[in-house]
Amino acid sequence: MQGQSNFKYEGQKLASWYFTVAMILFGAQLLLGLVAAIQFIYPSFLYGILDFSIARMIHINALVVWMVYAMIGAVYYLLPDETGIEVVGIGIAKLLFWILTLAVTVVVLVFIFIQVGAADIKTIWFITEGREYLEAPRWADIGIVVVVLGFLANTFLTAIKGRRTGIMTVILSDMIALAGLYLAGMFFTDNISMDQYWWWWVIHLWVEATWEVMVGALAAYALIRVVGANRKVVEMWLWIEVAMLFGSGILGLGHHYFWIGTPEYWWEIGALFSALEPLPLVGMFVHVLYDWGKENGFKEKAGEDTSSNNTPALLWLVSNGFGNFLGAGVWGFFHTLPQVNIYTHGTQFTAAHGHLAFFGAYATILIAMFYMAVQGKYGIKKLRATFASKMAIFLITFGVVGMGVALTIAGYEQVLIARAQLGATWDAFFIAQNQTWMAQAMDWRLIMGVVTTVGFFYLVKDLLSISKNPKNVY
Amino acid sequence: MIEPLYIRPVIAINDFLPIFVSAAFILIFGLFYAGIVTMIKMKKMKKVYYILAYFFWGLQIYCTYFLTMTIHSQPFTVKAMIVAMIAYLSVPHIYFYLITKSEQRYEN
Repeated sequence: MQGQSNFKYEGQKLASWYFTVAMILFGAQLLLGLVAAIQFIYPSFLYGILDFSIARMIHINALVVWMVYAMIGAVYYLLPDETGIEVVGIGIAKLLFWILTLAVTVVVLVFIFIQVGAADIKTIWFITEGREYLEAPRWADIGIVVVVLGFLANTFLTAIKGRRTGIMTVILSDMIALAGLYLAGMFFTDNISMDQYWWWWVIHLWVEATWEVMVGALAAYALIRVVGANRKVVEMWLWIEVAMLFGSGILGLGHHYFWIGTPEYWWEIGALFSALEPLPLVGMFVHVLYDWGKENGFKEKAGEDTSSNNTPALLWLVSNGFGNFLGAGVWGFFHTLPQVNIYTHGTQFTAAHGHLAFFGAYATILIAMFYMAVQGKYGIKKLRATFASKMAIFLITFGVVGMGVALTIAGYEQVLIARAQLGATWDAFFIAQNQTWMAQAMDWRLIMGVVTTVGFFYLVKDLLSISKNPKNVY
Repeated sequence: MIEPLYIRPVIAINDFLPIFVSAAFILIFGLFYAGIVTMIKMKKMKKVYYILAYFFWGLQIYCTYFLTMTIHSQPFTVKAMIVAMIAYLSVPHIYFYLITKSEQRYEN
């Protein structure tokens, strides 16, 4: 995304920086995912150099961080468009980008080269806090809070000074929740149940409440820009979705409290609200298709060209509707009820859900934002999908769905053998690991991981070259 | 000292596959129901297909009942799930009532 820029605002230029780093981290996520997938089949691969625990940790952290980068970038991209003015404090915003990127680089280098430390306070401050998914050391934790506070200040001051829209109001309120919830992951308690209780506030409430609301707001913005949907109607949908997402997502937190030592009333709360969680996802799916179909109908009636002004972004937007429903909805509902969850928790079912949900719900919409940034950067009126665009969406989707299916088969085998038949013992875990179904599922997971990575290279090529071919732009 | 409490809901081995399949179909049938209603409201399908939409909604109710029974849900959860499914019947209609009203307000 480098080269001659047609961005009207510095904020959008900054967004393209965030998107560039997001793509690099996306690549790192895939690379480390491949390493971990190979280690499942050949456990001695890089043993003692980059163990499975480290590869998996960086794989997941890279995923979270590239998505956070892309979301911050998306907010900076739409902020001037929505408010009609330049980002307030753009100089500070750029400085914060460099601070954050430097901090992320240092943390990743420490994860790769130092990896672990003694069980003391120095390790917590400078190497890793050691809590799953929130491994960043404490200095980086504090740094993240400072950067996010700066980001919030930039966004709020811009929104207050400029035009106020429904989309911006939703994003602003969502960002307060997103930033505030991070604090719940910054302290420890001696009791593991209590510690997990707070830890889930970050993990669940980020992913199943605030991130989903962010996706709803980005989808609303994209529908207005890419499909030409009516803002008032789209914003009305958005408010309904936000109400449903927060209504089900906040108490849906209960499905993580089933078996960690919290009181039993969480069973009923978790079961009921988790069951309601797919509802807004159906709503979002219908919303995208409805608006797309309606706007096409209007254009057909008026004898206008019905093609979208950014076909690759639209393709990713539609795949978001499908992917969110399948990955977060169907694969989430598989194991969201307590009676089933006790058998599936911590099996490859969780990994299948994680792969499909993060891809379907978040990666798709964020990639759509990358294409919108390319369109904005080169001032392209209409952007058409190329062979590389189609290969990217096909291979990445096929690869991730393939990984999801392989991991589901592995998870099903674990549920039957390790949990239901052998009673979730230490031996049962290894007996299940050595079954043919599990071994072959892991082979297929690696193959599909390679397919996804090939798709990623097509995506990089497309983002870098789509604007240069006059056949693709008009 | 508090006695540790061990709770492990028992599910028959042969019930796991039907449980996972019925859980998936609750959402898939729900999507078909909402999708067909959407297509009818968009005038892409004839009104006669409401029968098909309600048929899928019926299947969704059946799958919900089957799932809650097979996993031995507590009576309150069974009732709550069935009430939620009945409420779901009205969701697409409420959506499109709001959509129609907002379009009348903002587009005409």
